[in-house]
Amino acid sequence: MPTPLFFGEDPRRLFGVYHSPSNGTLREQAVVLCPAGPQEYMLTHWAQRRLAVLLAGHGIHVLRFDYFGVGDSQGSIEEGTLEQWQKDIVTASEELRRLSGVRRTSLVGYRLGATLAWRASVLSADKPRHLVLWDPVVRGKTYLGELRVTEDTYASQLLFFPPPDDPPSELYGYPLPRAQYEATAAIDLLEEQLPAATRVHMYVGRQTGETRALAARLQEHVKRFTHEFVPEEGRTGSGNLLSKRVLDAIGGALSADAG
Amino acid sequence: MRERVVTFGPEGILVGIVTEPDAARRGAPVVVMSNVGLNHRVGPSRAWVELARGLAEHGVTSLRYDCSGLGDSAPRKDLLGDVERSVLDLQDALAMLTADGATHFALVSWCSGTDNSHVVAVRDPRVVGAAFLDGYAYATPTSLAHAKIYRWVEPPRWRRALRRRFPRLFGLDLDRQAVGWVDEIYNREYPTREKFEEDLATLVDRGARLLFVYSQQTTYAYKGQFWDWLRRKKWGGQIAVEYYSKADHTFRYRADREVMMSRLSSWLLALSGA
Repeated sequence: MPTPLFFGEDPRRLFGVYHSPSNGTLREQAVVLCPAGPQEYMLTHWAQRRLAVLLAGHGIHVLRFDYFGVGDSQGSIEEGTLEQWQKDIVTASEELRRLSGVRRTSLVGYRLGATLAWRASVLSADKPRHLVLWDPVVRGKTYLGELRVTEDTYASQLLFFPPPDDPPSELYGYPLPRAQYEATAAIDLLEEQLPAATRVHMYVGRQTGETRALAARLQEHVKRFTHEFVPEEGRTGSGNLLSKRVLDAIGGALSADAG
Repeated sequence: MRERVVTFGPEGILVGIVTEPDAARRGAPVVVMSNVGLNHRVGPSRAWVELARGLAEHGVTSLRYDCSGLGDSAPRKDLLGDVERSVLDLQDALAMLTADGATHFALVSWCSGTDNSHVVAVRDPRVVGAAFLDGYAYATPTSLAHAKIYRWVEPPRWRRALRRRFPRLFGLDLDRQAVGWVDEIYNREYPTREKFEEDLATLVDRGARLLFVYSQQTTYAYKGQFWDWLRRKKWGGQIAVEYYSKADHTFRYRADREVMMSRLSSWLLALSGA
């Protein structure tokens, strides 16, 4: 049975759910799931839960959690920064080490969470065993543009909505403070310091020029890198539709490492 | 203010967060919130988290929890329908809070979440107040006129049609695959109008207070619609109705959300004697 808990220190306590291995096969593997950014948090919460259950079924310890100012964690969204969320991933990794007794953790990040996990891998004292980048945000400007299209598409269904502002002060029902917008817009994984992880895996549902370029960069510089295109199974008006195939692909890659 | 995780229900499958004030207001009901649609318990735009923390500043305790099978809660093993299951979940939540010392409750629900709240509010006399956001709404001759006739002469509808056709002129960048998926997807199976009124009478006659909030993205079409569908006209001032004619169903835009949440919060605080 998963265990919901708060961890970390006041006033930055984080909410998380620890999934202990559920099939009796204990692996020396522990994975922190790094969720998408606040705007995609609600859309992807179910995916995080399903992936956690699947990995726990492979005998892996899993911790999924909410960033500071997001979900049930302390703080408000206006107080959240990319730097703080990167630190939150490090805090979550420490908590998972304590809960599981496993010394080296792995990180699985989705969308903005993948980008934050990449950066957090450099911050951690112990480099992650695996870093899984699931539909990573490669360039912040592209990501913000995609969010804006979905926002405008939603607005177009309505009779009334506030005139769009530029840069947007809110997206998907969440405030987007100027500093958060600028920090997000500055993301460029094609230029940033390479991640520090023993193995890096990338899964993308949509191949773009950016994801191809990122794969090429990682292929060139990371010794143990795998890259898989897992096409989306469908598309809805509200955005991403969860693909079971990508969950299986991630589960397969992590459980193949006997630990 | 402090927050703690609670697990309850059969085998502890249900997960929630209790938000407690430093000094609890004596006699205040515990406010209970859960999922909006299939989304997990934090509420649209984190509404329930902010409401819970704001209420705690005024001495009011609250619980936000996930119904079975949603958010962080595991599914129930019994093969029941959605509403029956969520009614059991809510009853389990009240039982857990009662064991913790609570004596009466205010239920806050939104969209399909109003289904179980409505049932439990009617059944359980410890429920002294209930707020329903985009809950049940019934047609009236005037609302039907809006839906069938006035719509053709309402400028906002023409503006919307133009926005969809020429989005760039309005500064919009649209995903063409997603445009036009549905206009009003929020219709569910409602109790009959007679049953709804009978339930309302049960609640009001036992002293409960009720707040109904409606947005523009429903079949609610004009300010007085609620009162027009009821035969009984005197409700002792125990029912309040708010219609936010420009807000969408999830109160996605901050300005709309702040107005509605402020009204909801002050209504709950008044119920708590604050």
